Amino acid sequence: MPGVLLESKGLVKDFGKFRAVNGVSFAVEEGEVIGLLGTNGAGKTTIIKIFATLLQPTSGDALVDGISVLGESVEVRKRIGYLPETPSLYEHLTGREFLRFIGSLRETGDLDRRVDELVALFGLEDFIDTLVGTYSKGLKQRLAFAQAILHRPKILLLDEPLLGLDPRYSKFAKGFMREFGAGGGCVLVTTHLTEMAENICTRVAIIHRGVIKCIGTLDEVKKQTNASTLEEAFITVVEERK
Amino acid sequence: MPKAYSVYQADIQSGFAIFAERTRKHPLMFIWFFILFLTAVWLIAAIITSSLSDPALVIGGFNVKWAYFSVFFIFFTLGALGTHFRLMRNPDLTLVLSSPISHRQVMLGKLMTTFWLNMGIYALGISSMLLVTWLSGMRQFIWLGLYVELTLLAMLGTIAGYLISVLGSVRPLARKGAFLLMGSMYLTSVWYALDLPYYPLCAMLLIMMGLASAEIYFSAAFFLEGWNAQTTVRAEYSRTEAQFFLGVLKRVPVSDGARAVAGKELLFNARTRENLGSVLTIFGIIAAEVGAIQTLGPRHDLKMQYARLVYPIVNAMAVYVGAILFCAVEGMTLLGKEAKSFWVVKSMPVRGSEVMKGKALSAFLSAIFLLAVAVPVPWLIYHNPLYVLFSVAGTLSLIFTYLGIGLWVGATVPNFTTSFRGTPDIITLYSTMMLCLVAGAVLLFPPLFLAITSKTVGMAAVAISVLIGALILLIGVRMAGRVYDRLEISM
Repeated sequence: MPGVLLESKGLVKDFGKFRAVNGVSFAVEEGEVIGLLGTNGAGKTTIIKIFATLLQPTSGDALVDGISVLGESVEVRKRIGYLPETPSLYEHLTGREFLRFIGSLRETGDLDRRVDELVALFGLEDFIDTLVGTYSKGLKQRLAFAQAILHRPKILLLDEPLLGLDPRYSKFAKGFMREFGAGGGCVLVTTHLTEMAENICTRVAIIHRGVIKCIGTLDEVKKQTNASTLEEAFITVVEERK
Repeated sequence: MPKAYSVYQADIQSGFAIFAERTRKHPLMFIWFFILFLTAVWLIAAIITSSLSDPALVIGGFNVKWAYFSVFFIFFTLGALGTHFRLMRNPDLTLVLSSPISHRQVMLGKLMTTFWLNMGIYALGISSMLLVTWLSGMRQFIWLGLYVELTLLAMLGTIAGYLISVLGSVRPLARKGAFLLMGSMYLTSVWYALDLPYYPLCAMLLIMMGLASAEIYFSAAFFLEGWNAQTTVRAEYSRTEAQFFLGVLKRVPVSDGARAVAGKELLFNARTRENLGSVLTIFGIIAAEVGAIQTLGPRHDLKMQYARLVYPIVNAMAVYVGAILFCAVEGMTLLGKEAKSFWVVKSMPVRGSEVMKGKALSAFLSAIFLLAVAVPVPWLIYHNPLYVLFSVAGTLSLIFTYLGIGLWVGATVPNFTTSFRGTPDIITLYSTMMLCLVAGAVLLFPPLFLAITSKTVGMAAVAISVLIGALILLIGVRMAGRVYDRLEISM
C-alpha cells in the first residue's frame, strides 16, 4: 500500500487581513503527480511554500513524509526538491559553481559525477561554466530544475515548472515528472495550464480564493463539475464562485 | 519636467511607505534612533563649543577647514551612494527606461530624489544642532554666514556625488578612471576653495554647482551605457578567486553548510568588487594620517597637550569606519542582499545558525585586513610593539563586536529590496552605527585608561575586550540564526 508523502490538514495562511489559504486539506501518496490548478492569487504558491517550509501556516499543519513543517523543518527540507515560480539564482556564480554550492549545502555524495549527470540531462554542457547572470530565462529555469533534483529527493514541489522553457525542454520536463511519479516519488505541481495537468497529473485539485473546490482524478473532477474537459471544469469552478 | 517629477514622486511615495512600515513595525527602534541622534548632535555641539572656547584644541586652523570639508564629503558620499543604488545599479528601472520618457528626465527625477533626501538629512542635522545648543544653553556657533556656507557645501556635495556616480559607472576601467578623475576635481577644488574668504567662497561654490549641473545634463549621453554596465553581468570572470577562497576555507573547522555559504559570499564579493570602494576609503584615511604625521611631525613635537590626542583619535576613527563598513554594515546586508535569491539557501536543509556562521566567517575574512590598518600609525607615533599590539587587539575586539551586532540587526530587519543590495533603511543604519560607537567606547575606553597607568593591566583589559567581542559575535550569530529560521519568504 502506497504511503502518504504529503499531507495538508486544515491549512490556513493569512497575510495580515488577507486569507490566502483557507482550510485546505489533501494528501498525496507515493507515485502520484498532483496538479494544483487555480487563477492568479488563488493560493497555489502559498501552499507549495508552506510545504517547502518557506512560509509558516497560520493554523493547521502540513506533513512531509510524516514530518510536520512546524517541527523539524531541516528534516523536511532534506526530503524535498523545490522549484519556485520565478527562480532567482546567484548571477555571479557559474552554473557548475551554483550546482556544487547546492550539493555542498545538501551534503550530496559524489557531487562531481552527479553534477555532470544533470548537466547532460538538462542540456547545459555549453553554458555550465559561464556565469548564471548571462543565461537566458529558459536556461535559468533548467538550472533551477536541476538543483531541485540534485540530491535525488522523493518529493518534488514545483511551482509553474514550465515557465520559460522552450517546447523541447517543456516536453522533457513533463516526461520527467511523469517518470518521477511512476518511479515511486510524488510531485506537487502548480500550473495555469490545463493541458499540462491533463497530460501528466494523476490527480488535480482546483483551488479558488484559498479553498480547494474539487479534487480527484481527471474524470472525477469533470464529473463533479459536469464538464467535458478540464479547461471547462476549471472555468466552471472559477466563474461560479465570482 | 512633469515626467521627471513622476519618477521623483514614485520614489518619494515608495520610500515613505517603506519608512512608515518600518516605523510601524519597529517603533522602539525609531525612538532609539532619535535618542542616539540627539546625543550624537549634542556631543558634536559640545566639541565645537569647547574648541571655540579653547584654542589649544585647534591646530593651525586644521579642524575648521576639515569640519567644512567633512560636511561636503558626507553629502558627496551620500549623493554618490544614493545615486549608485537608486539609479545606476537599479534593475527595477527597466520598465521606466522602456517607457516613452527621455533618459535625461529619468536622471532628473532621480537627482531630485537624491537632492531632497540629502537636504532633508541636512535640515534635520542643522535644526537638531540649533535645538540642542539652545536647550543646553551652549554658545550659539551657527551664524547666518556659516549656515549659508554649510548649505552650499551640502548642495554641491550632493550634486557632485550624483555626477561622479553616473560617470563612474561606465566601463572599461580606463574610461571609468578618466571620468572618476574628472569628477574628483570637485573634491580638490572644494578643498582649495575653502581657503577663500566668505563671499568669494560662496561665489565659487555656486559656480561649481552650475558646472556640475551642466555636466549632469551632458552626462545623459553615458547614462544608459553606465546603467547597462552596472546591471548586467559580464561574461568574464576569474577562476583563481574561487580556488583561492575554497583553499582558505578548507582549513577552517566549520560544517560543510557554513563553509559552502562562506565560500559563496567570498566569491560573490570578489566578483562584484563590492568592497573595493570601502577598502580604498580606509587605506585613504590611513595614508592621509601617515601624511599628516610626516607634515606636522610626531606626537612629541606637538606643543599643545590636547593636540597630542589627534593621531590616536584619527587612527581610531579609521579603524571605526573600517569596522563599521566591513563588519556592521556588511553584517547588516548579508541576509538582505540575497534578495530574490533567498529561496536558494532557505530551502536547503541547513540550520539558520550554520547559514549565519558561514556569513559571519566570510565577513570576518573580508575584514581581517583591518588588523593591518591598525599597525602603521601606532608604530610611527610610538615605535613600541606593545602599542601596536594594543591597537591590533582593540581592532579585533571591534571586528567581533560590530560583526555580531550587524548580523543580528541584519537578520532582525532584513531589506530584501533588490536595488538596495541588502542595505537597511536609514534609521536602522544610523541607529546601528551609533550603537556600535557606544559599544566600541564601552569596550575600549576602560583598557585605554588602564593602559595609561599600567601597560600590563591595560593589555590584560584589552584582551578581555577581545573575549567580550568574541562572545558578542557568538551571541549575534546565534540570535541571527534563530531569526533566520523564523523568516518567511512571501515574495
